[in-house]
Amino acid sequence: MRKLGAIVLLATGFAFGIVPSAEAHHSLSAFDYTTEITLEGTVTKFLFGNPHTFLHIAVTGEDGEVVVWAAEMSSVQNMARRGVRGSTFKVGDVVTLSVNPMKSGSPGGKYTSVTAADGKTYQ
Amino acid sequence: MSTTLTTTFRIALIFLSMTMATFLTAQTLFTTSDYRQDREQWTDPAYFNFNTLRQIVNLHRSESDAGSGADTFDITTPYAYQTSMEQYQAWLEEANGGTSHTLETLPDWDGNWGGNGSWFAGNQVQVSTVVAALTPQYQEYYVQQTKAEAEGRAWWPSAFCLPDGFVRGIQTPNQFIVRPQQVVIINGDALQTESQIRWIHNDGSGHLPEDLHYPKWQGESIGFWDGDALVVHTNQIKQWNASRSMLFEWSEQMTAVERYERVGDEIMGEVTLYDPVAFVEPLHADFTFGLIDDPEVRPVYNTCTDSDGPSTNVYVTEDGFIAQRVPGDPGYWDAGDPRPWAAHFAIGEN
Repeated sequence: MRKLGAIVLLATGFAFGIVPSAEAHHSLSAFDYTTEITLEGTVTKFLFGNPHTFLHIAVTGEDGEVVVWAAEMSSVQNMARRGVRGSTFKVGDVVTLSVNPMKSGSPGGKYTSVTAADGKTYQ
Repeated sequence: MSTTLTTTFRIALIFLSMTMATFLTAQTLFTTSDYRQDREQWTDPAYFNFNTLRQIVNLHRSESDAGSGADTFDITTPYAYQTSMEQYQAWLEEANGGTSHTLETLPDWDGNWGGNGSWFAGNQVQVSTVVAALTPQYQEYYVQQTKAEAEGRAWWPSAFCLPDGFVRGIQTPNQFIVRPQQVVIINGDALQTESQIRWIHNDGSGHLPEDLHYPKWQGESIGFWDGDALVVHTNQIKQWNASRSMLFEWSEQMTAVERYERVGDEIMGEVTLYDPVAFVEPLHADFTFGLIDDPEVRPVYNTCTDSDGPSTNVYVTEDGFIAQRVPGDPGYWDAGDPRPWAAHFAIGEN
């Protein structure tokens, strides 16, 4: 795996604007909406499915440790409306992913935007 | 007219209370140390800081716990019937025993439908308005749910891949398969989050005998045609909570009467929920379902476990908060594993 320098930008507060989704499959209270983290990493898995799509990326920290982050996305239909298809992410793609992280501290979160290998950004 | 005046009066009262609340410091759901001691305040919108149902659910991502005060829906029944069967029988009599349809005369309800959930969507109903419609025990359950939501301790069945239950399900019919003796409603919703199915028996046989009754996620439904309108009676509904935005709970005594009719490119629906254990009077909601004009949206069968695992990825922490397992965590469910049983075999063989 290509070693990547992780870019981790931490933004606190509510400066990034929150638009509640019309409907949610389950409560999103497991995620910290006061924080947004941006990560650069390599796609290890893309699960295009219902009720949630998941994007997993391997992120290499400053200490060289590789951690897999799991980003929860919306349903296939919702993601398709945002332009994401089953072919949008492939294993090995380098992507930039922004998430509201898990409150528990586990390496995961609710995606807010992702920039694919071809430079297109999906929100 | 009286409903309009009542609603107008209630809105005026809420805005008056909001003004007064800025001058008075009172205990609220957000400041209390024991919400159970505040029972006399539960029907006061100020106690919930004028939040709507939806605003409570979204508090974990809101800047403030101050609600909008919006409260424009009357959530109780406009009818005088005491029981759901009384309503169903009265409507059956008004329909002269129901309309007999053939395949040729049945209304055309083909298509892929999506809808709005009326006040069930929670956008314009104060929490206190729902409290006032519930019996004391179910008021306490409801305020308990609301307090948990306000503190980020939500507990929605869907988080654990459990069925949504009757109340959330009826808001999302995706397809109506209309036949002379039976109507099948497939609840898939436009978001393709979860699949549910309902059978409505229109053959006149009625509900099964009581010694065959047991609680079911969608209950047991019978119906008849009133011209081109479908009337449905449902009993044997499993006790559950409404989650998403309504949060209220109901008992196994809950029964329902629904009515659906196509008007142009919409299906207009309504439901009246009867539950003498949970509601002080029946609850009522109107729905509007529209055709989804998107060739890429097709009904699809899926279960929550497809992506979330068999209730293993979401769990409750020791302090009562919802958390989610990620790769590397013990017990993580890998939804992308095509042979999940192999991992279990490996454990046993080692």
